[in-house]
Amino acid sequence: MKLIRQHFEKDKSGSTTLIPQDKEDLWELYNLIQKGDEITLSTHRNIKKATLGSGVAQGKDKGKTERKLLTLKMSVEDIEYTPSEEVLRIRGKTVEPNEYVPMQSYHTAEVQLQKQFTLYKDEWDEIAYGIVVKVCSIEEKAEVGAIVMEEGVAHLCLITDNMTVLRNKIEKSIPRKRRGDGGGSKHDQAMEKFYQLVNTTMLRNFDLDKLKAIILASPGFVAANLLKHVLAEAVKNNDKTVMQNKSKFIVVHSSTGYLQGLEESLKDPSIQRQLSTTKFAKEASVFETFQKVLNEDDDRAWYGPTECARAVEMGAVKYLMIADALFRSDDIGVRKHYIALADAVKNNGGETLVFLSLHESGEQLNQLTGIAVLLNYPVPDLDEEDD
Amino acid sequence: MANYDNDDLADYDVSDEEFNEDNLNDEDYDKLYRMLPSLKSSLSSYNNEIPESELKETFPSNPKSGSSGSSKLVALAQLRPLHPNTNASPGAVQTASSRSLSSLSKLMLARKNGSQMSSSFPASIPSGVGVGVRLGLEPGSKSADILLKLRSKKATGTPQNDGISTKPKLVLGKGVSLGKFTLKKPQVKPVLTHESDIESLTEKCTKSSSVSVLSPPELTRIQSPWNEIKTKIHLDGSKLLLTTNSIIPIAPLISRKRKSLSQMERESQLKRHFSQLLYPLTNLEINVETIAKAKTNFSRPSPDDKILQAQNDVFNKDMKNLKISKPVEAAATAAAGTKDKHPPKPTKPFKKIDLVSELSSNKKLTKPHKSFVVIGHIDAGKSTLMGRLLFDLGVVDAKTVNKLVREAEKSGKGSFALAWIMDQTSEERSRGVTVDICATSFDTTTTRFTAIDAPGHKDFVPQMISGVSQADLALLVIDSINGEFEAGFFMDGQTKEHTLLARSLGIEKICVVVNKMDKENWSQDRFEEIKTQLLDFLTGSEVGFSSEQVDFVPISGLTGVNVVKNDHAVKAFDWYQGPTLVNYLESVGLTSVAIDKDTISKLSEEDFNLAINDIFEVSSSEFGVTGKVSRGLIQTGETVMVSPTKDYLQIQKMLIDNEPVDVAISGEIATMHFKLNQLANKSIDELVVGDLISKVDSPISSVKKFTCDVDLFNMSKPLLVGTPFVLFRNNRQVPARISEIIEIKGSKKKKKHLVSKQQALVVIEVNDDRLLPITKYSDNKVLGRIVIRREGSTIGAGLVTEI
Ligand SMILES: Nc1nc2c(ncn2[C@@H]2O[C@H](COP(=O)(O)OP(=O)(O)OP(=O)(O)O)[C@@H](O)[C@H]2O)c(=O)[nH]1
Ligand SMILES: [Mg+2]
Repeated sequence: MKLIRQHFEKDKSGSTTLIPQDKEDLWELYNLIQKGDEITLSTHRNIKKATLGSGVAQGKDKGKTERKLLTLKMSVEDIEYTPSEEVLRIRGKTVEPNEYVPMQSYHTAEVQLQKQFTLYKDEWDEIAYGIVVKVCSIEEKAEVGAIVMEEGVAHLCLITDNMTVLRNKIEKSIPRKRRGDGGGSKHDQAMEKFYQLVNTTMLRNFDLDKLKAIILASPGFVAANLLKHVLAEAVKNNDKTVMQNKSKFIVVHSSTGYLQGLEESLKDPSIQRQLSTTKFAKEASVFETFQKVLNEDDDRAWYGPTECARAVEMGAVKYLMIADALFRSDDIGVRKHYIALADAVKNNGGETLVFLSLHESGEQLNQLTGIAVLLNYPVPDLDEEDD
Repeated sequence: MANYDNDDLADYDVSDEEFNEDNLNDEDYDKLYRMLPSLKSSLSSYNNEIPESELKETFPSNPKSGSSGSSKLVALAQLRPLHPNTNASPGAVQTASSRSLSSLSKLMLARKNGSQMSSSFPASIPSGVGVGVRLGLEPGSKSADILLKLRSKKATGTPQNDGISTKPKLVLGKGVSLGKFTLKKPQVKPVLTHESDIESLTEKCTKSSSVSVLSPPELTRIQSPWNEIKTKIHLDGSKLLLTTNSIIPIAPLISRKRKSLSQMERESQLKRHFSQLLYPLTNLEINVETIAKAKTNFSRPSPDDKILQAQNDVFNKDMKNLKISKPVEAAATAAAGTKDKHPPKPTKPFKKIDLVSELSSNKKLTKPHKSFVVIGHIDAGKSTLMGRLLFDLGVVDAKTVNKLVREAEKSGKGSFALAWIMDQTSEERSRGVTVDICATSFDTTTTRFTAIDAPGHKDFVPQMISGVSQADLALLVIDSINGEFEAGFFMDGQTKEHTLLARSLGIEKICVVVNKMDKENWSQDRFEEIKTQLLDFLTGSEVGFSSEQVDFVPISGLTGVNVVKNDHAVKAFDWYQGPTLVNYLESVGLTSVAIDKDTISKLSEEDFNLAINDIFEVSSSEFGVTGKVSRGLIQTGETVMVSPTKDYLQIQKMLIDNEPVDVAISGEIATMHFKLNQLANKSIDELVVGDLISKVDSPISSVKKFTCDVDLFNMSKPLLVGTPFVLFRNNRQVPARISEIIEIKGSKKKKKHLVSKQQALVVIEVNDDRLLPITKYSDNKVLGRIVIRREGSTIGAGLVTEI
């Protein structure tokens, strides 16, 4: 994200002008922009040429229109984010008059990559402010490509610090081998076609020069064979891009070709070391440990708002795990509560980890009420009802 | 080590594969020597006679190691941030060695190192043919042991921590006061590390992070709204600090009114986004209706957006520009909407036949049919046994076997010649490992058999499951060689997992085939030893077969003794008075074999179900599917429905054991031919293994969610609500998760997680854009069962109670 300017008043109201650079920025903005904020952005509108009030009886497409780039200032009503589209859609009511658009009219406009916009808030609290600080500080974001596959199925994904996006899914039916002469040939041919399909899809969707690494994960030999195929094709077609980026391909093991296989292979230490941030790695490993302890059932692992709050009160918490969704709550009381918990944990020497919902471990935590603790010592019956 | 014969040398893939430490670059060379002592010491208690050279070969960066080629080494070397010292602890050794070597490539490695001894080839195969026999106890297998050891260590062990270490830990400095929101320069603070494995992991993370950012620390000036002070934010590449802690520092909160979405709404929005995020862009064609339907689900576009979108749609067929708010439902309803409205009328069979007389006079159908699957740990000799059966029964002739022996020897895999009868793909042959199941049928005088060879390697358990789903009976092949049985049984071998799966998927009988008895000198003691242990296990609480369901037969698949015949030529085997394996198979009683008037009338009343297990093109206009009929009967000419695609197809032709038939009944493995143009998308890629076929008037439901009773096995971590796993319904596999725990047996507490050995009633949600066709257990004992696998292990099984 590029920060263009900022202005704040004494009462903490103020504005920030930003240019989002990539889809991660959009995700952060999705967390930043809230209902009631005001936003100024440019958007294309179709304007009726004759802006006279008689447009009712005319057919839908009859009235001549013209596309114009307008700058609207709107009060935000709803925000929608679709990672695969790389747009953040804002719906709101205009709050400033405009030559073509009446006041208080509803519009949907997009916050787009590389396009400047200004956000006004009545109060920039430290969370909102923290987001701005954070997104404007990260200097280089590395993106990693990944293909998780097994015979006949491949998932092409892009992984960044904040999210994993599925770009393509390839399915091809592979006939089984037969006994008898040449009984494996139909299978072999189908697999060859499958590798070809994956290869071309990959070349179309992955910018090899830009990606930091391309993880190929599969059970058995599928991933290794794909790499062989990719390299052989590159030699055949004299594909310089592939040849130059040859060393970025990493073959790893996963037990399945479904997306969960990706999570599994990401736990591989060699892969973790290559992702740009260690944040994800740490969360994932703490969450692994949390699960192991939970399985042992020795009262050191708990989840649930009440249980965790009690544990924090007792000062027993080593790791507090909170899903970012809780911090994103629009209810200021809720935000305050969780911030206070995090604070208390820190004062007792514990650590708080915020899990991003767009990664698997965050999604997992969300399902477990969004909050969990790993304790320094066992505390039984945190879940007993109070009388 | 000196007695390598020709076989070995050929088996040893020469090219550039040989490990030579001199080929390592300096960094890796150093690391190898740093690792070596600790590796040695950590293995010494296990086996201290391992030659150093073999230890070196397990070194992960070894260019010889299977899947990771030398290009990968380069990749690793380039990308891996250099951080000295972290590799010095034994913990690091195991992490490193587990890094790039999949267990499968470890196996390949072990195999390559395995030295073999030649043995005279069994008399029953044409003479002049030599087949090497692998000896499990030769030095080569030690390296397999090392690897096994390493692997099991990986499974249970935790990275060790070498006592107290200083750990640069990035935390906010004490300067963060509560009163003001001031971000200060993060301090590097030494912290004592104690026990936990998180800590040591974190340590690595932190270290590598602090090195991995190459650009110099950057100063960012950002105005703070609170104190108008320009705050310096110092970046040590510590995104950890910025991402995590920027939220944590506490400043006074001034409450403020904000009219906004409730938290719940936000959360549900978030969930929706999550599913969108993972919405696949498939390579399947999507028809116009699907798109239209999807479009109706667009959420409130403004008029302008509508026009824009319409333009988009016209010019841009790329699916990624389509916004589908509920992809799964949209696709499903669209699919249902297009094809569901008017299911075609049932069609009459091509031939009018009297079922009773046909079924009781047809020579093929009156002979009882049994299908069995051959399962067991990798290299137990499953494929070899299958090859032997087919050869000795005359299904495969001597000429074919001779040819295979020549080919196998040429590529240095002489001992695999018989296995190659089943191992047909180039992959399987070059690696010497079965990857997929292979079904074949044959007759004896009394019985028709369908035999299915299954793969033994852990990675191919999904294929093995689809093999089990086609069978009534399982042959569990055990490698009786001292140490090998134990490896397959006690370590994380597949003997146990396969058995659990067979039981969970409803296999009626299991016959333990104690193989390679030639290598144990046909010792009765060894046989009894294995029998006792396995009987305990199979009839114990974990698996739960009754002792009547379990039998034991000692054999040698390679030499053929006691497979089809036992001429009592082997003196040491005199003690055995039981049946040969084939005699056993012919005589074993199964519930489903006899056909009489009653069964025929019962079958014609039952709903017909078949689970597709293979899909293939027959010609440019026809395609075929093969699968086991699990209920009822069907005739050529009838129209069937495929679930979940709702394709209606008329059966053009039907085959059993490669011969055309007019009718197929429950228990048979039938092949059906259909017209390609009856498929909605005219492409067989629309169907997948595990889709179900039924008659038009008795459709099978396809669901996104269902309720089932699950029984959990031993797990290393709990099964949480939301944990992704792979669900197997008979031969269909699909990603899924538990969406709700309704009740945990024997507990009143409401929990969101399940632990080992618990039983619970749960709701399972399928995480796929394709619905799962399934039946209740009470309706179909085969299709109403499920098995759950996570991260490569089987962790539970269940029965569907509600759909
Ligand atoms: N001595 C001896 N060796 C055997 C016997 N049966 C199989 N083998 C050897 O064991 C090795 C593995 O045999 P396979 O038949 O490929 O084993 P598998 O169980 O099919 O292996 P996967 O399918 O990969 O799990 C081969 O080298 C066989 O020659 C036997 O009865 N005696
Ligand atoms: Mg095999």
